Amino acid sequence: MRTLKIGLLIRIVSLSAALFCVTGCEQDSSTIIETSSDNRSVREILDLPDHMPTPAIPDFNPLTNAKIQLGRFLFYDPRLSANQAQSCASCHNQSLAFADGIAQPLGSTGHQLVRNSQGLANVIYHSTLTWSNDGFLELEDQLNVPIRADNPIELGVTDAKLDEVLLRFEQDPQYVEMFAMAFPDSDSNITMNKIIFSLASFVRTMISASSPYDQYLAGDKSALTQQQIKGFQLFNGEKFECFHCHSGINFSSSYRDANTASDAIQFPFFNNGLYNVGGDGSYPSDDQGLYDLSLNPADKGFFRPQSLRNIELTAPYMHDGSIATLREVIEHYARGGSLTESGINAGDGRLSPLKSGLIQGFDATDEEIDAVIAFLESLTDEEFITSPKFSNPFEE
Amino acid sequence: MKSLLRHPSFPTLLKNDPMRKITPYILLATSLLSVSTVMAHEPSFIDMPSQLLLKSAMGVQNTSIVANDQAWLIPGVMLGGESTPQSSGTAINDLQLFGRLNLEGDYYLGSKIGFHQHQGEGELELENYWFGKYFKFENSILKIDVGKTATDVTPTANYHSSQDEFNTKPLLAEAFFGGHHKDTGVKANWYWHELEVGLEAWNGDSWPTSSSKGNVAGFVRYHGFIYGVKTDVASWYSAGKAEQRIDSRYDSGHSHSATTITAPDVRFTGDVAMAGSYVLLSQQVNDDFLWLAQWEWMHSEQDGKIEDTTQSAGIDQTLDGYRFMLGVNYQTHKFFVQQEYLAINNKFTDASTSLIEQQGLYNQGFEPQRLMFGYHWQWNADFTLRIESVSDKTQSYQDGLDKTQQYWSLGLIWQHKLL
Ligand code: HEC
Ligand code: HEC
Repeated sequence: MRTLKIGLLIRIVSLSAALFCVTGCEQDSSTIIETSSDNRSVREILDLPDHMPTPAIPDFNPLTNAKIQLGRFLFYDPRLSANQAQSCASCHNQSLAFADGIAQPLGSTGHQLVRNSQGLANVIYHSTLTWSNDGFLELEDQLNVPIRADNPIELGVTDAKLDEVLLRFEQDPQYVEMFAMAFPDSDSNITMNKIIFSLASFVRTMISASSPYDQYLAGDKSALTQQQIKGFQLFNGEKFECFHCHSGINFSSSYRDANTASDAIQFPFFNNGLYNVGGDGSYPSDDQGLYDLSLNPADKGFFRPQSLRNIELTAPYMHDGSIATLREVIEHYARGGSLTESGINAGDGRLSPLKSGLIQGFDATDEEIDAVIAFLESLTDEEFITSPKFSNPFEE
Repeated sequence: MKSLLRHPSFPTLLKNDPMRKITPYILLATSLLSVSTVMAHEPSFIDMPSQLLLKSAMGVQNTSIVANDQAWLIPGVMLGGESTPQSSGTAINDLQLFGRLNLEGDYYLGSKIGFHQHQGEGELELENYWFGKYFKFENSILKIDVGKTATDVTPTANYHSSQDEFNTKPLLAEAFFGGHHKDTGVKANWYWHELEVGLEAWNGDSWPTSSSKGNVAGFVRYHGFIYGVKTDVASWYSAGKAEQRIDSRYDSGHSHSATTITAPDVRFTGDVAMAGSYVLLSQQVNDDFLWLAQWEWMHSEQDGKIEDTTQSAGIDQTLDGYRFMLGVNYQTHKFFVQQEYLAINNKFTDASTSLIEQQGLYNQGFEPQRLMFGYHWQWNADFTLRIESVSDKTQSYQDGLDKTQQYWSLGLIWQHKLL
């Protein structure tokens, strides 16, 4: 008797459950994104669109509007160079996505640099800074170079000139006030550290995320032309192979953001076959990339894969500005490396023993190359290069 | 914000209560345990003779639900394993050589060689091989199997076209088990009257677990007759882990050229817990007529993080799936209708929408469904002819519309006892 009752009970329970699903199945699908409070405050200050990941901000230099504002003044202020001839903006011009359009710039004293000025869009998402340095992990480390280095001289604030430069700011009441607001918890001294922390904060805000490609990502499927979509597919395809090194939202495998676990950060550097001096994979002796720091011959010609955002605006290309146009860049990859026919740097990069295995060369039609260029042009961000957030405050 | 934990069966359980997941099973298990029947009954495998059996299913299908150069994606669901829909054209959908050899002292060996064809490529593999023994006690039987086999938690996890009503894999098998379960492990099944209790320990290599991180499963099942209705009711639970699990469904023989935009390359690391219940009822009303009704619910929770080549985020996913089937057999004719339904609730922490969307993990208000009608004509003991019509609404499209795809397939099931 007991058996039957329980059997019946089971039947009723299960049948009603079954009926529930037939009639109801009222459960809906949903997607929710929760943002931790640390990330939220960073996103708010940066006014970051949803499709962009939260950048990593070091704990020792939290972002504040006061520091960002001060950094913006400093960035455009020639008083930051020893001879007051240059500011950061001399080599990092907003209308060119903060590059300068020349192969290799001169420093404030006329010193010839060996490297091409980098664009500064989305610098914050790179795991290392500059063209080739595996030790520059934070802007606070790297910014000493343009300001303080004496070989080559950029802004030329060497030890001998330091006090003189700091005095310029200490004597300007407007700066004294801005420094006090930016560093409310410290004494009123103006120091090189404070300058660097503010510049770093300003450079961190230089986020380019409004290009047609971004609009496409954010859901506007008409933001890219058919040709650009084709180009994007080719870029991500196994023929062109670009995406292996120029990966993800910032088009560089040298990437990190606030979520990246410290043991998961990648520090990629590649030789992309630009030179092959003497057939052993060497680069021109004045700049051999990572090798100049590590002195390991296998590191010759190793450079960081660049972000390709705003790439249309940052010509000429590569660490030495040796390639003039995007078409020639793609021809370089299609050939599997560049050929330098004569001179002291003669050699065929295609045959370099140090070249990355991902650069094998490929046959591409003009139409395909056009499509990839059209796609790269979709990374041009008008808003970024015109935004008053990044413009020269002395011209306001 | 809608509560993610809203589940129709257990509305009152609290979110952070660790008992939340298992309480319903304990309840069901205790209620099942209190069923005591008089008739002792021996499970069918005890008398299973040594044999060699060939089962096969072949078919022709008129259209594919995904283009040849595209990945099948269900919005919000992390698919993997062997979850790929059948494509158009003719195919040997399933070919199995099943062998069993009984040895002295209640020991036996089993093996299954399988051949599957998808994406136009066939693959022959030694799918399962196991070694087993049963122990007979006064009132109960214990069976132990060791080897590469499949879980007994639900028949849906062990789908094979030649054994199932439909030539199309159940949506639940695709979404929850990567097509079907297949792993190396130990199974212990204990039979007592109409009750069966199973405990399983697996290596953890079958989707959604990965990397041999281990997986344990257990179930309680009742199979017997209630008022002349053959009743098979069970509830199960399984828990395992995945590490850097990747969707490798299209890894071999598949060109990436056009699909890279949508084909997910996300890796999942974290905990995977699943649970389910089913009720299978059938009744042979007279010599000519049988009816059957089946209801099944599956639930999974995947809690961990996802990473693509650059970005990462926390994910807490719950997936619920329902399957409902009705069927009637009249003499040699069988008719079936099956409806399946999925609800996906994804909660991400610190994620950009570009990561979620590029990995196909965004789903707001889309509940994938599949409706199938099938007809079988069994013209002799070995041959069955089948026709099915499928309405598949599992994908969403760029233009934002959720299109229903329609196809039919015609097939033949052939089984033959070789020895
Ligand atoms: C004389 C030209 C010049 C001036 C002035 C200059 N830079 Fe640069 N900048 C460069 C060059 C060249 C590089 C590449 C350096 C390298 O690879 O070693 C660079 C690299 C950088 C980078 C690294 C970008 C990346 O993608 O990793 C940052 C950031 C930067 N500069 C910021 C500044 C700031 C801030 C100032 C002012 C304090 C400044 N620069 C002044 C030429 C200049
Ligand atoms: C093996 C990794 C790798 C692959 C593959 C690769 N790149 Fe690069 N790319 C690099 C590196 C490294 C640099 C910087 C090299 C240098 O400065 O010497 C670079 C530089 C560039 C630049 C110049 C960036 C600048 O700011 O001047 C462009 C444009 C570019 N790549 C586009 C492409 C395209 C398009 C493809 C596919 C056809 C591609 N890359 C494939 C690693 C790669």
